[in-house]
Formats: sequence, C-alpha cells, structure tokens
Amino acid sequence: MDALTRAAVAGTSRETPPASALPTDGLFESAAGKGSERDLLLRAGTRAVYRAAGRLAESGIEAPQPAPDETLPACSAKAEELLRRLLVDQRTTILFEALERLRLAGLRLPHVLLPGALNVEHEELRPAVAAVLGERGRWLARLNPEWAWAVGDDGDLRDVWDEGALKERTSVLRRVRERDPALGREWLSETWRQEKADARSAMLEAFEENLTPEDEPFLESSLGDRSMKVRAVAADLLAPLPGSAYARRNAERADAIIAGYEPPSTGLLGRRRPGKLMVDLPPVVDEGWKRELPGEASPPRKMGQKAWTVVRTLEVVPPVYWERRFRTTPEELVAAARGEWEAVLLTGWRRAAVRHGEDSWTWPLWRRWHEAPETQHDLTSTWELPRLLAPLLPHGELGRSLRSNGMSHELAYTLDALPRPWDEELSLLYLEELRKHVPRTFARNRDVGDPWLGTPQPAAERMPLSCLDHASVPQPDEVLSERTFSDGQVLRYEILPLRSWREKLEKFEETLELRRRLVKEIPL
Amino acid sequence: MDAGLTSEGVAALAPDEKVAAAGRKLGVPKSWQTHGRSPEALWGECRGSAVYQVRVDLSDLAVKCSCPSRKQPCKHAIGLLFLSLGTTPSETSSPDWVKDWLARRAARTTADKRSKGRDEAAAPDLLAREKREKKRLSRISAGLDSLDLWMENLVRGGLAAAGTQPPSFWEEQAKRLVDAQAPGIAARLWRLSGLPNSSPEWPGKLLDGLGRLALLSKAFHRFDVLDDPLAESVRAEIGISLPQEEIRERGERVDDRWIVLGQRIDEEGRLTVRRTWLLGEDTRRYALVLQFAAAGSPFAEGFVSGTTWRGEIAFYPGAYSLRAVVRSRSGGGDRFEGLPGYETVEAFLDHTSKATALQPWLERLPAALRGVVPLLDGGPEGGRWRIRDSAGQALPIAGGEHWTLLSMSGGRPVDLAAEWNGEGLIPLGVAAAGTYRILAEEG
Repeated sequence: MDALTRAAVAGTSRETPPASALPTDGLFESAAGKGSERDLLLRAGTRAVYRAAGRLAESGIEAPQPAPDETLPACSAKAEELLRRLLVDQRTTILFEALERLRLAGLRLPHVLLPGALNVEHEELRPAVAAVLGERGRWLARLNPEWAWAVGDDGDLRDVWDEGALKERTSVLRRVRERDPALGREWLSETWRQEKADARSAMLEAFEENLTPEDEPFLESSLGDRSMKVRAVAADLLAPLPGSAYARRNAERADAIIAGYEPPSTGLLGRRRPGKLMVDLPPVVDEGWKRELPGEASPPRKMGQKAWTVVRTLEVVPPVYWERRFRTTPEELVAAARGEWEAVLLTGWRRAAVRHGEDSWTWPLWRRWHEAPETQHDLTSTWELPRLLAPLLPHGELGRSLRSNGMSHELAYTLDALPRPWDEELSLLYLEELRKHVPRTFARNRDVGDPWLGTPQPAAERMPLSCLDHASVPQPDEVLSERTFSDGQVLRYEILPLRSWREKLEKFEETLELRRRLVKEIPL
Repeated sequence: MDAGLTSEGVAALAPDEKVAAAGRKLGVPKSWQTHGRSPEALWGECRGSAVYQVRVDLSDLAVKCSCPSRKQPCKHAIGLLFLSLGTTPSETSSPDWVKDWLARRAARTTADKRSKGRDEAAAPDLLAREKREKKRLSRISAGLDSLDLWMENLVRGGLAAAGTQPPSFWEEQAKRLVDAQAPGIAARLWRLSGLPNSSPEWPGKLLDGLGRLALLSKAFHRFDVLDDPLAESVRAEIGISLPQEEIRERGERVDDRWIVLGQRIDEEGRLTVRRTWLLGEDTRRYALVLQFAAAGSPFAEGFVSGTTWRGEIAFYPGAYSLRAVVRSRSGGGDRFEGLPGYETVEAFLDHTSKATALQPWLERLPAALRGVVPLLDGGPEGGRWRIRDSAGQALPIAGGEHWTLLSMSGGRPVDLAAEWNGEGLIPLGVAAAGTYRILAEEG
C-alpha cells in the first residue's frame, strides 16, 4: 500500500498525508488550503486518472504452445446447436448417443463446445467425450487438471500419477489399466505401502478395469490388509476371477450350505411338486471366512448375521456352478428356492448372477420377483433389484410380459432401469401397448398412481433408431371434468393425472423429435 | 430469414438461459396454432395454458406478447423467432391484431416527434425553462457540497471504517444524491459501495473512486472554465441527461455499417440497463447504445450481437463521445468478414491515454484487438488470464475464467472485442477461423 492510500485508510485525523512526487500533485495547489482531507481526495483523483492514462502493457509473458492442426472435420452448425442444447440441459442418454454418432461419423466437437463437454457432470459420458475432442480438445484439457481424464499420452499420465490428487490418480490408474493391466499393477505396487487406507481402497477399485488372473496374487495378499475397506474391495474383485483359489474356497463353503437338491416330481394324484433345496446353515463362521466376503460387513436391516454370510458366500460362486452340480436348469433351481431360506437363496443368487454376468439366471430371478415382490421386501430394497438385473435382462421377454400381464410398477421400474438401446421387439410391443393404454386412460377420465406414467421418457430415449419414425403417439383431446359450486358456478377442468399424461406425451414427442434431428444432422 | 438471425442470436435475445431453453422447445410448428410473416413482422398464436398472441417487429426486433410473463422477451416470442429459423412460411398479409400493433408503434414514434416539436414551437416560456434549470443546478450544487463533506469525513476517520459500515451508510448518501437530481453521481457511489472487502486491494480502489468523485464535484463547480465538450461530459456524468430526441436531431451524425460487438446487462435497482457496443466498419468509431427498461419490461429496440446493419447514429455531445442513439437502420443481419481494430496492445493503450486525457471519468472503453493470443499464464491454480500481441505485449483479461475463448483460439492469434474497465478486458466476442462469436461471462 502506498503512503497516500495508507493515510486515507488510517484517516487524516491520525496520519498526515505525505508529499509525493507525482506531477499531478501540483494541479490543485490553490485548493490546498481547504483542509487536508479535500486535498487528499483531489490528489487521489488526479493520481487515479494519471495512472489510467499512463497504463503500460505487461511484457515477458511467454507465447503459449499452439494447438496442433485438427485432423478431423467439425460437425455442422446445426449439429453444434443440437449438441449445445443437450449439454446445457444435461440430457445424458441422448448426449451419449449424439457423441457416439459423432465418433462414428468421423467428426469432432466444434471448438466452442469443448469447455462445456469437458465439464460434463456424468462421468460415464467421459469416454464418449474423449473420443471426439479433436486436437484442440486434448490441447485444452492439458491446461486444466480437472480435465486430466481426457489427456491422452503416458508421459503426462505418469506425472499425474506421481503428483496428482487422489481422484486424478485413480482415474489415471484406470486409464493405464485399460491399456496395460500389468503396468497399472506395477505402478500401484511401487507406492502401495505408503498410501493411506482410503487411497488404497480407491486405487484397488481401479483393478476392475481389465481384471486378469495375473492380478490374483496381489488381490489375495490384499485380503490380509489392515483396512476392512481394502479387504472388501479385494474380495469384490477376486470373486469373479475364474479358477482362483479364492473362488475354490468359497465354492467349498457354499457346497456345505446348499447340501442337496431334490428334483421336481409328480405326486400321487398327478400333482406336480416343485423341486426342493436342502439348506444347512454353517455352524461356525471363522474369521478367515468373514474377512474375505465381499460387500458391507454388517447385514442390511432385518437380516441376521448368519443369513448375510450365506448371501455373500453364494454371491461369490458363479451360478452356473449349481447348474452343473445338480444337473438342472436355472428355472428349476429358482423355482426350488422355497421355504424358510427362500429369500436368502434368491438374494444370494441374484447378487451372484449380477456379479458373474449370467443372463440365463436373471430372467427366472426377475420373474420370480415380479410374481411376488413382497416376499423379498425384507432383504434388500425392492427397487434395487431391477436396477441391478436390468443390464442382463432379455428385452423381448420383458415385452412379452408387458403384453400378457400388463404394466406393473415393478415392470415400469425395470424399464426405467433398462439400458439403451432397447431391442426392436420390446420397443414395438411397448408402443403398441402404450397406444392402447392412452385412449383408455383418457376415456376413464381418472387414474391415480398409473405405473405407465414413468415409462414414456425412457422409451423415447432408448428405443432403436429404426423405431423413431413410427413411434409417435397422438395427443388425445382434452377431457374436462365438471364441478358445480353451491352458487351455481360451474368449473371445468382437466384432472391432474390426465394433465400429467399430456405433459408426458409432449415430452415423449419432443425427445423423439430431438433424436430424429440427431440422425439427420449427424449422418453416418 | 433475412434479419440474419442465427439460433445463437435468438438465444442471446432471451433474458436468461431458461427462457432461451423454453423458447427453443416452443420453436416447433406443433406449438403454434397459426404463424406467419410479412416483410415487416412475424406473428403467431402459441398454444400454452391459453392461446397467446405474439408479434415481432422485424425492423428493430421489438416484441409483444399477450402472455402475463414478467420476463421479456418471453418464451413465446423467443419460440416464434426459433420457429422462424426452421420454417419459412410464405409471406402473407398480417392479421388485424398484428397490423394494429405495428400501427400503434408507428404512431407512437411520430407522436413522440410531434409532441417534441410542439414543445419547441410553443416554447411556452423560455424564462420558466431557464428558471427550472437554475433551480436544478442549485440543488445539484447543494447535493455535491454535502457529498464533499461526507467524503471528507470518511477520509478523516479513515477508509478502514468503510469496511464495516452497513449498507445504509452508502444508501442514505446515494439517495440524497438522487434527491439532488444527480443520478449519475448516485450510481457511481453505488458501485463504490460494493468495493469494501471485495478484494485485497479494495482500499486503494475505493480511494481512486472517491478521488474521481471529488474531481467531478470540483469540475461541476468550475463549469465556467471548462470548454464546451468537457462541460457536456461533466453534465452527462452527473446525470443531467439530454432527451434522446434532441440527440437525434442535433447530435453528431455518423453513417456506417455498424458491427454489433456485444451486449451487457446490468440491474440498477428497479431498472435494467443494457449496453450495446457498436463498431463502425469504415469510420472505425465505437458507439455505445444505452437502453433502460423497468425490470422485466422489454427493451424497445433489439440488437443481434455478431451481425451488422447499415444506418445512421447520432452521438451525444462530450469531450470523448461514445454514447449514441440510432437514427435509422436498414437491412441488417449480415455477417461480417473481419473485425477492424487495434493492431497492437500499444496502439490500444495509446488510444486509452488520449481518451482518458479528454474525459477523465470514463469507466469503460470498448476495444477490438486484432491478432492477439489469449493464454492462461502459470496454470489454472492462481494462473493469470492474459492476451498477448505479436510484439509480446500483454494485458489482463478480467472477470473469472475464459475457457471458451481459450478453446476458440487454440493458442493462435484471434480478433477480440472487449470492454476495458481500466484493469482488464472483459471479453464480448471473438473472431476466430472466420466467424465471430459472442462470449458469455464465465464463472
């Protein structure tokens, strides 16, 4: 702070303003007698103007390294407009589709959209963004550590790994694992002992990229880690590794739990009796067993410690193991899970089917849940189930279930969780049923808690391109209800459920239109 | 359409992102019961919770809608403009509700002119007018005297105390200045009230601002020795404004093809102020069109950033005139080739010196700088945003981050249009790879 400002801050009652050597100081000599405050203010004013007029440029700033020339053309102005809108509105699903199309068309993002694209909130969009950044985008990303995920070359990755914050380091580790899992393992082993527990578990999670049998020894040793979190991650990763010692140990444990299977039979009066599973809970669960189970150590609400151990042990064993062992189909086995341990068996298998990606099991498990969701309420949240199973469910079966059983809240929730693209069969069946349902709803002029309401949006976003042109559902005419007040006034209004239907259908059409334009503006 | 609108331009006309997004959604034929266009106007009836009648005057992009929205232009108007981008309805004659509106607008303009003319013709009583003027000047004089005392007290007690004053401390003094009919000074004081604790250098900035106010007050008391243009500038800074009509008639007229460099909107109390910066392609003159509207009301005249129009503007008098009003405009909406401007930072700073010497109270200067490279010096953490010319001279870029600008340039020279606030450049738009884009303020 200069002397003049210091005097002003302290106050002229305490500090006498100094004389200074600026040529502007002399401008108001005649006024100096009017008191030192006035003098100070005028001097400050002239000095401010003097400085503004004499402002100098800065020098000694290096010119930046320019970005390399682009090798790909940018998309059209209309496509740019579309992409801008998707970015601003955060329409994740359609944005993903658009970015994919851009890549397939051999195009890149226009420069003006790069910062917005690099700032996408949803991390799952990042690979799609990275693929269409062009030279400019990669150049830009290097200037901002928050965009390190988009930077392509290993030299930089190693720098970030050595010096970056935890979040950046784990994302770098993931990228390295994608290309060279052994190198990633090597990097992590170098620093493993110095990392804190939170860092260890976060980094170990990166091993899910390109998990290979060569990772087993590292993971097996991590089962003995001091931190419970690290052990859980190691168990999570070991479970799906085929043929690991870990898998064998747990198959033995599971064998003791599901001790036997009685196939279905036909009884005396020709009544068919479903199969039956013999379940023996383990008498003792030793420390070694407990330590290496995946997932949370404490059971969810309403589940005992022992049941939770069983669920997690079953989870580790690939379901196909049971098919081989009892020489039967997933359908029969799922049907046989009845009685006292029904929920425990189904929960364990469900988790196993998801973990091991066995889609032959997901459909029978889903159907079982759909028939009687309440029996599984007590274990894990009902709504978690469709979300977990959705990526593995057969689309056509869901469509046929819709046609024969109608829409339920469970099915609606499943459709909402079903990843894109929906297959054509499901999409066509869905549209057919929707076109029947809408006029019925409007004709009834009432409907509360309609499970259909949540479905048009995911359908519009995820149906395949081949369905887009014929997907529109006409807006029904307005249906008004009437209410007469005591004074004879009549109020005519559209009831709320129909109003929300109208909005849903509008949004449905808008989404279809958006995707049709996408196809047009980014031609392949 | 011939107004040269792009969807970017339409979005920029919207008062905020939300309205722009809503407008985009409405910009499809199915949202419209009817829509049409004539050489003068666009119109349409939009289906919402009711049917709203929207009209747009194509000569100046003024809009009117029958909806109750307080945001103007409303989403229906923006939607209609978006619709016009995508569709080209054949020209028809406009329905009555559009004709009536256009006629009323035209009538209002002529009426304005006429009533003005009558005032002068009648010149009811020159003496009375002079008396009014005298009375106002003496009120301003008294207001400035009290401001001087207030500032002297502030400096006597020390500026440190200003950091702990409640808003009322500033408000009361500003109100007194409004009552004294010196709104320009009141507005300056308002801006100063935001300084305390806003940055580590605030005491110095506050002292600069108070000093300039003291100079302004002194200049007012010495009207007699100022030459005419500077006296006009001082009057304008104090807030004694001349009627636009008078400027239109008597101001310095300049005819050119005007580039709309960009716009900034400030809320000043219940008033929305829009600054539109223009640059003449041949004359290389900068101009500032100020528009005022009650918060939520539309601005009478629209400008689309990044386009040009041919026309005549009239400048307000002053030692360094920037402010102007539009006298006539025609055609318009064309894109332009390059951005004329200063070739070096040095040339721009030279110009700044001259302008400041002529008019010491300038708060903002427009600048179009050619061939500068935007850069982030020293990495994003604590890095400094700069532009650098080919001679290696640099200036700071003010206000937040500028990733879009950086992305557009890619480390190569671009033409930049900006507002210079005395400390840094606030980007308005950038011409890179042959196109000019407006830049929004980034956080």
